[in-house]
Amino acid sequence: MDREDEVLTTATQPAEEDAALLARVQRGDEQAMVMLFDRYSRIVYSVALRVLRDAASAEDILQEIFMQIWRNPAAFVATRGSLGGWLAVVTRNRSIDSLRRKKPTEQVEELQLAAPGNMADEAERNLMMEKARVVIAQLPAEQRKTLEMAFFDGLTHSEIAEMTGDPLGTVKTRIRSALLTLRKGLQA
Amino acid sequence: MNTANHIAPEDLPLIALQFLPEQEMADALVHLEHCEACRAEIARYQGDLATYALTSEMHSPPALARERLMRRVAKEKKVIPIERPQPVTTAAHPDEPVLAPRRGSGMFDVETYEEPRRSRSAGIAAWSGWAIAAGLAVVAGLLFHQRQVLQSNVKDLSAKASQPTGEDTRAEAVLKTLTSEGAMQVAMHIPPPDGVPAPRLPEGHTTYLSEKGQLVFVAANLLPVPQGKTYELWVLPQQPEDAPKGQSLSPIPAGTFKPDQYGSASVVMPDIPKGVTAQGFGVTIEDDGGSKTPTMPIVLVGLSI
Repeated sequence: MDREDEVLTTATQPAEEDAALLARVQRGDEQAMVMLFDRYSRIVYSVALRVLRDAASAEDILQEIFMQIWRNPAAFVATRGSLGGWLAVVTRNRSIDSLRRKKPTEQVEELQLAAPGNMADEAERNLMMEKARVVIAQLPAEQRKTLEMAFFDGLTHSEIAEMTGDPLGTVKTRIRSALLTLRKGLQA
Repeated sequence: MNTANHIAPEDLPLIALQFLPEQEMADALVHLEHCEACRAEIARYQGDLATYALTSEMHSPPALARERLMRRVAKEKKVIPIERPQPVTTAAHPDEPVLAPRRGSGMFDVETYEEPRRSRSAGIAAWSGWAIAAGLAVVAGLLFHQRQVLQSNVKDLSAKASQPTGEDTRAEAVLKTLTSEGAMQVAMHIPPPDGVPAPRLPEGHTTYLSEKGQLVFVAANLLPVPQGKTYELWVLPQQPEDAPKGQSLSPIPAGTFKPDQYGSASVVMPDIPKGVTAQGFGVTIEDDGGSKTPTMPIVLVGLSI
């Protein structure tokens, strides 16, 4: 190994459970915040960037969400599901609210989230990512497009129906079918 | 919307997506409070949406995002409440009469007002009250005077602070010269003996003050980076002599930059930690937004001698 290569080696850190890190954050441990940031900032930033299509706005959302964790880690309880999954959904919701210049809606975020897998584990997360991408690529084009418009573009079912000219019921069915196919595909 | 006392299946994903109109959403939330089945189904859809979120292309946040967050975190230090042991209460025997709690046993005790008893000391106590009030009035007067003096001092200091000193003006001019897009940047070399100019190779110069964490980096003759990519500067920390074998300090990201049309670029005063002794500096090409760890190969490197 060259000298330059040697100094650029990065040390790896052992994984710690999300719940343990949140408990440390609750006690004011800043290092635990760093670990949570390193674990999930890529997901949060990528989802925000996908919705907002602007790096500065995406970082604003990233900062806002991690500050929310710092200020109130107890708002996320273990029974609510996976922290990674919750962050992904909250990031999407916050980004859409920001697009629409709407006050953040907390109601849905207070509901539980069935953990889709262990997102704290990078290898497992990458596997889920790959599987999900394959399932989505295999969806019928209308379903794929409708889900994308709903989730990433934040268009409501009514707006999608208006834009595409499809009946409202069809739009609702497409969203539901796409999500059910995704669920089934990941369980397979 | 509700069918057979449950939320219609097509509406469940819409709730997870926050798409229902306000009134319908309020009705749905009322139903969800009491319906375990619908709650579980919404939780599954939330999980599906979380999985779907992962299909977006992954990007690393800007290299300095973590430092920015941790600065905000440090500003909002937490006050950790001290856990006090709960008072042990023994259950009263069923035959025993229930006694009123003793004073001082609870966190917020309500003090009962009792009619004061008249005694010989009542008159003295009344006069001592006036004496205390007079004393407090004097103290308040002194505090008011002190406050006036302090306010006046603050005004003077603010006025002085708002006037830039000669040194500040010069520092600002230096910074503008270094970072201005219109500034001409020319790298000088020994003229070629045969008059034929040698090909211009990429080069970078770093000036670094470790104890203050201050850094100025200027580069020239850089090649343009591909779309979606950026150059990133790294501080390569000096490895401690007593560090265990195989463990090394990670490079510290010191800012991203893209060259202008002439191949010139600079990074001035990036947000880096203080007190890091550097072994050298490196530049790599990363995805837009920068990276937390450098990606090989290193395109420019300089190590201290």
